[in-house]
Amino acid sequence: MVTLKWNRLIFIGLLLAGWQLLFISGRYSPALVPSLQSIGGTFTDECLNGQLPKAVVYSIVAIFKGLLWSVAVSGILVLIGSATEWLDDLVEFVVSIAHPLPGIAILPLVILWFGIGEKAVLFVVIHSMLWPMVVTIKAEVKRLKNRYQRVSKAFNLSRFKTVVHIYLVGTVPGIITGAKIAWSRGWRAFISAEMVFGIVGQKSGLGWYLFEQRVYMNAAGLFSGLIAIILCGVFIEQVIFNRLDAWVQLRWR
Amino acid sequence: MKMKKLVAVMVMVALMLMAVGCTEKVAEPQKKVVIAEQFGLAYAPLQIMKENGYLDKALPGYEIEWVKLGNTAAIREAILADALDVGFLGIPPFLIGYDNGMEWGIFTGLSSAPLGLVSNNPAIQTLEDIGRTDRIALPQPGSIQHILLSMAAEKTFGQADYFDKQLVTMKHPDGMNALLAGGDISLHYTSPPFLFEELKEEELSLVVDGNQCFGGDFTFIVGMTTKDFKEDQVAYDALVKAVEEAVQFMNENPDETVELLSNYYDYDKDVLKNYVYEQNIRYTTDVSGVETFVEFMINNDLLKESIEVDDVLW
Amino acid sequence: MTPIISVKKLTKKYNEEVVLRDVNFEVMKGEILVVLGDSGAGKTTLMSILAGLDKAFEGVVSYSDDLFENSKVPLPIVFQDFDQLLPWYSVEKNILLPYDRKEFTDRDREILSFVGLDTHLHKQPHELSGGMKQRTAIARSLLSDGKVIFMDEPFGSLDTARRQQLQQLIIEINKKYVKTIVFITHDLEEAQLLAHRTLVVGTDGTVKEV
Repeated sequence: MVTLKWNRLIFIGLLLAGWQLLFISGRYSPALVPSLQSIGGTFTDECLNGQLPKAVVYSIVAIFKGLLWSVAVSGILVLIGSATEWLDDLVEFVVSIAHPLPGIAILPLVILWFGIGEKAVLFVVIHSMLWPMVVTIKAEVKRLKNRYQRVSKAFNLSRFKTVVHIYLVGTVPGIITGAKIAWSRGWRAFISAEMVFGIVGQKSGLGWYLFEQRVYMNAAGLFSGLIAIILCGVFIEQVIFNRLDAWVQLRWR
Repeated sequence: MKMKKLVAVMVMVALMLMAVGCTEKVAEPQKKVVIAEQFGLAYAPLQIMKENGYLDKALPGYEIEWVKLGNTAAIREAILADALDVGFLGIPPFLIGYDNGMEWGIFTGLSSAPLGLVSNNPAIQTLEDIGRTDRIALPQPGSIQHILLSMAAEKTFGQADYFDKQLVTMKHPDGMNALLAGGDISLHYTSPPFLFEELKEEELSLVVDGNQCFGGDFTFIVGMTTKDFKEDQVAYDALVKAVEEAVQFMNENPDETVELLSNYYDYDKDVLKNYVYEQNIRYTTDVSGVETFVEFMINNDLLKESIEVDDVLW
Repeated sequence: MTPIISVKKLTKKYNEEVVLRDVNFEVMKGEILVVLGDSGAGKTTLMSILAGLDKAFEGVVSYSDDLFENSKVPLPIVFQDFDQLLPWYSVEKNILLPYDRKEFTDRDREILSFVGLDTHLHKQPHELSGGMKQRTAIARSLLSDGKVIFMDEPFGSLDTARRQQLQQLIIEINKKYVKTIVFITHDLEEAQLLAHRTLVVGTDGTVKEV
C-alpha cells in the first residue's frame, strides 16, 4: 500500500516537472501552457478571493439537490413498477429510452420548456442521475425480493413490515451505489451544461467558471478550475462515497 | 522493485510529453492559408472574396482553406493551436487575445455596422428602465456587444459591470428566437442581419445603439493574422489586396454583390439589397476606435496592460 | 394423537410434470414427522404446500381449528440456507420482526436461553457461525404461539458436530414445548434419529409411510 502511494506522488511530480519544461521550452504560447507558478498563483488567488469556493459550493449543492430528487423519483418509479407486471414493463421501457440520452443533448428542448436558468440545468442534472439510479434500485429490489420473499410469506409479515424492513432498509446499499454512480453522472452533466450553454445566474458553478476563463483567455484560471474540479471529484467520490460504501457494507452484508 | 516502477512511470510520462510535442507542423509540400469564415452581413466582403477567388488568383502556388468556426473563442484557440492563419472578429476580443500574449495583429478593417440593444418589453425604453430580473442575451462575455453595453452602463450608472449578472450567452439566432418568444429574455444585444430582422417586429424596440454606447463611430469587424503569417510577405500582401478588392467590388457592383450573397443569405434579393446597402453598414478597410476600446478596457480591468495602437495596427 | 393437518388426494403438477401424486396422510399433534426423499423428489414442494406458501394444487389440505387461533405466525418455517435472516438486523431484531412485541418477554428469554442464544442477541448474522444462524431461525419460529414448525433440511450446511447438537435441540424442543415438527431431510440417519413417523417421497411423486 505504501509503495502504491509513492508511485502516485512520483507520477504527479514527473507530470508537473514535464509541464514546467514544456512551458519553459516556449513551444506553446503561455495562453495554452501557462507556467506552474501562474497556475498555482491563480489557483490560490481564486480560492482566497472566494471565486472558486463559491463555484464549488454552488456546484455541489446543485448536484446534491439533483440527487435528492433522483432518489425520490426513483423510489416512486420503483413503487409504480412493483404494482403490476404491465406497469413494470412500462417503467422499464421508459428507462430504456431515457437512459441513453445525454443530458446536454436534451438541453435545448429543456430550455424551451423551462426557460433559461437554474430550473433547466437542474432538470438536465436530474435526468442524467435518475435513470442509472432507477436501474440500480430496481435491480436491488429484485434481488431482495428473490431472497427474502419466502421469509416474508412464511412469517406472515404485514405489507408494511415487508416494505419497511426488507425493501426500504435492505436497499440502502443499493441506494448508496446508485448515488455514487448518479453523482458522477450529475457532476459531469452539470459542468458540461454550464460550459456549453453558458447559462448565467446570480450564482453559478464550475462549468460557468470554466466558460468565463475561456472567453477572457485566462489559461491559468482555466487550469485552476480544472484542478478544482478534479479535487472535488476525488474528494467526493473517494473520500465520501467510498467511506459510506465501506460503512454500509459492514452493516448490511 | 521500486526502481523498475520508477523507470516505468518515467517512460510513460516521457511518452505522453512526446505525444504532446508531436503536433509539430510537418513540412508541407504545398503552402497553405487557413482562413476562418463567418456568417453575418458584416462579414459579407469575405463571401465576395471567396466567390470571386481573389486570393486564389493572387497566390497560385498556395492552397486556400476556408474553415467555419463557432465563435471568437474558437478562433483564438485555433490560432493558438497553429491551425488558423487569418480570422475576422470584433476589436475587443482581438485585444483580449493580444493582452494574453497572442502574437497577432490587425491587417485591415472589414466593416462598420449598426449594433443595438433590442427589447421585447415596451416598458423598457432606456437603460434605466432595465430591471434586475431582465435578462440580456449576447454572444459571450468579452464580445464587442458586451463591451459596448458596459460602456453604456458606465456612462449611465458609472459602473461598467452593472449588467454583468443579468447576461445570458446565446448565439445571435438563438438570442433572436428567445427575444421573439418572449420568455426569459427581455433584451438582445445584436448585429446585422438579426438586428434588422428584430427591429422589423412591432413589439420589439431599440433601447440603445452601438454608436451611442461607444460615443461615436468605430469599426465593427477587423481582420487579423498571426505574426508568422505576416512573415510570408507574398501571402500577406496578397491577403491585404484581396480584401481591398472585395470591398471595392461590393461598393461598385451592388447588383452582382446581392446576386452572389444570395447564395449565403436566405433573404429575398430586395430585402438583401436593402440590408446590405441601405441600413448604414459601411464596408471599408479603415480601422477606427481601437484607442477608445483599449482605454475603456484598461480602466475596467478587462485588459492587464495598455496596448499601443501602432503595435497592433499593421 | 389428534391430527392437526390432514392431506387428501393431493396432486401437484409443474407444467405437465407430476411432482406429487394422490398423496394422503395426516400430521399428528406433538410428533416429529420426517419427510424423507432424494434431492428433487418433491419434499420441499410438499412442505411449501403444507406451510401455506404454495396454494396451487389439487386435493384438500385441512388444518385443525386451533392451529390458527391466537397465532400471528401459525406456520413458521426454518429454511436450510443462511439467507433466511436479514443481514442488516441483529439477532434480536430478526427474531422479533414477525411479532408485534418490541422486546422479549420473560417467556421469550427462557426460549432464547434454551436455544442457546443469550449471549448473541446483539450480534449481526455475519458475525455468527452457521450453527448460531440456524439457532436464530429456530428461535424465531419458536417464539410464535403456533402448534407446528416446519423445517426444510435445516442442518444440511453444518458440520457433523453441530448437526448433532442441533438435532438434540430439536428433540428437546419437541418434548418441552410440545411443538409438532415437520422435518424435511434426505439423510436417513437423521430421519431415524428424529422421527416418530417417517414419510418417504418417491421420485414418482408418491408418498408412503414407513
